[in-house]
Amino acid sequence: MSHAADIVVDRLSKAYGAFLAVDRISFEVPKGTIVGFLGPNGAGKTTTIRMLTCYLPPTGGTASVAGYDVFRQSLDVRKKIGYLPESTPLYTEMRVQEYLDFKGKLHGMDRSTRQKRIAEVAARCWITDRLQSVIGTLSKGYRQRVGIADAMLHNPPVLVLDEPTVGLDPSQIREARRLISELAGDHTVLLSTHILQEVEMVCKRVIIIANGKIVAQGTPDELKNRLGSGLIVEVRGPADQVRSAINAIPGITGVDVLQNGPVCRVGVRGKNSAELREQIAALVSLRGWGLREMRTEGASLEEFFVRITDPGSAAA
Amino acid sequence: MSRVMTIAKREVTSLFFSPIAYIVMFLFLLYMGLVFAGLVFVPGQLTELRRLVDFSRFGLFFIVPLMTMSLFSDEYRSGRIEMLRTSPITEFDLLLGKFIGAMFFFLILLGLTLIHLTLLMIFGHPDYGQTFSCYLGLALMGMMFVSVGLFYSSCTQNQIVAALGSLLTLGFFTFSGGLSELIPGSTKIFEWIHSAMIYLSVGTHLEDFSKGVLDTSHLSYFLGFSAIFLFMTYLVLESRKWR
Repeated sequence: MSHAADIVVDRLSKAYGAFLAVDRISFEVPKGTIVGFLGPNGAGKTTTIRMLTCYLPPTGGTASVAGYDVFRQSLDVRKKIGYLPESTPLYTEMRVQEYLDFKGKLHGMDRSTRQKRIAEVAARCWITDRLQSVIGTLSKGYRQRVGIADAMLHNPPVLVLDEPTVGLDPSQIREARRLISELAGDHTVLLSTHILQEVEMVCKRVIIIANGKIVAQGTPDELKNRLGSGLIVEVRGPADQVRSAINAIPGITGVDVLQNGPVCRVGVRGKNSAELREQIAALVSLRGWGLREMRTEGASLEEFFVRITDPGSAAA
Repeated sequence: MSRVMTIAKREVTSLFFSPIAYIVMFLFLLYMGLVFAGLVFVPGQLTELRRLVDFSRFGLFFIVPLMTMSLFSDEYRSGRIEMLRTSPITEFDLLLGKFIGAMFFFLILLGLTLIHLTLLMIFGHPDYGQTFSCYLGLALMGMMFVSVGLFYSSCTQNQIVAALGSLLTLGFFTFSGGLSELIPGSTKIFEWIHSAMIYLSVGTHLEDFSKGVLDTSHLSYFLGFSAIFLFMTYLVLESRKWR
């Protein structure tokens, strides 16, 4: 069956006994897009990914990849997915070429296709010079790239990458991001990562998961705009008192302590107006604290992420 | 089927990369060599592999667990099971592939005994029908032992636990005949246990093969237990998905 979205998740759940690791989440990944999957540790990201790649069976709800149901048509799903697990498990005693050949055979590729594809993915992932190396002797970065090459080998329509740039050096990270961006269009990519600027650079849509539930989804810009623009205020004074004092000013929707210490820095959300800035300045000097800096700043995805996943705050 | 053979081939190559393979071959050759030199290749004995085969089980019940302990345990511990489960292969493919790979290695072990056969052939005329029957018995016994080892390996990520479990189970099958002597044959129930233990003993079934007698009842013993343990392994693999 054809579908505009390549990954469709509907009220998917995973329960371990009484503990709900993933609680009825629903989302879609449109064909040909790169979607970022974000969340704090233990949020349920890897569990969700493992359900999509058919490593774990769901205990509730449904999910389908490329039109195939992950529970009932598991083998078909696995043919259509290229998966890079977080731990990049490889056979360390094999050579890179051998290993890719092995995976190619498992995917049912014939000899000539295998040879062609191995050369292609090796070139794209910059491992051509290491094809004859034993995997156990490779650095983490190289192993990561072997894993990415492995995921791309059978040219699957859907790629699921769990932390693909971990272990790469900065120039390799940039190249990896370029590589992943280039995949859009031909492939649908679900990218799970902690690196927020990676998400902003590469992903068209973002899904944020916390405590097994989806707390936000949308384009990076949409999410940033939900916070509105804000002020960064640097004050010499006790952080919690500064926070509660500024929060008490009418028109302020929230104050986050960004940096603590004898001099604290707070992010202030609210209708950013000149009157508000004057009020804050007046308040600070009234209380005898030193106002060191006040500037307007555009919202960042990081701030949005911290706020939305903070268990104390309500969903923005 | 090609997926199964891909997995089997990879398994065999990998087994030879591990030092365990060479330790296993060494121990096997050492044991069989001692049995051969002490019990077979002595003046007065018939020129046959019979005693070698009969005694082989006392070495193999210890050696096969060493060979099979890492088959699944290693995959669990290294996290590679995640890569395998998310590849387009079924649990059955994986099971069969690992089993065939292990059996291939076992057959290589058996091939090492050709040296003993050669020595017999130089100094005498062993009966070829009996020789064939001996190797068939060894292969069938190997199939059963490997199935048991594979099962315990699939149960745990700890290789030592897998080896110990296999060792105890295979030890039971190997020594069951001897142990049955300890059962007092007084009452009906004890008589039943006594004959059950004799039936379960590997020696009971290996005897005919080593003599040169091909009896299908023994075939069903080896094939039956192999099937039971392979099936249980399949169940364990399937159930592990749900943990």
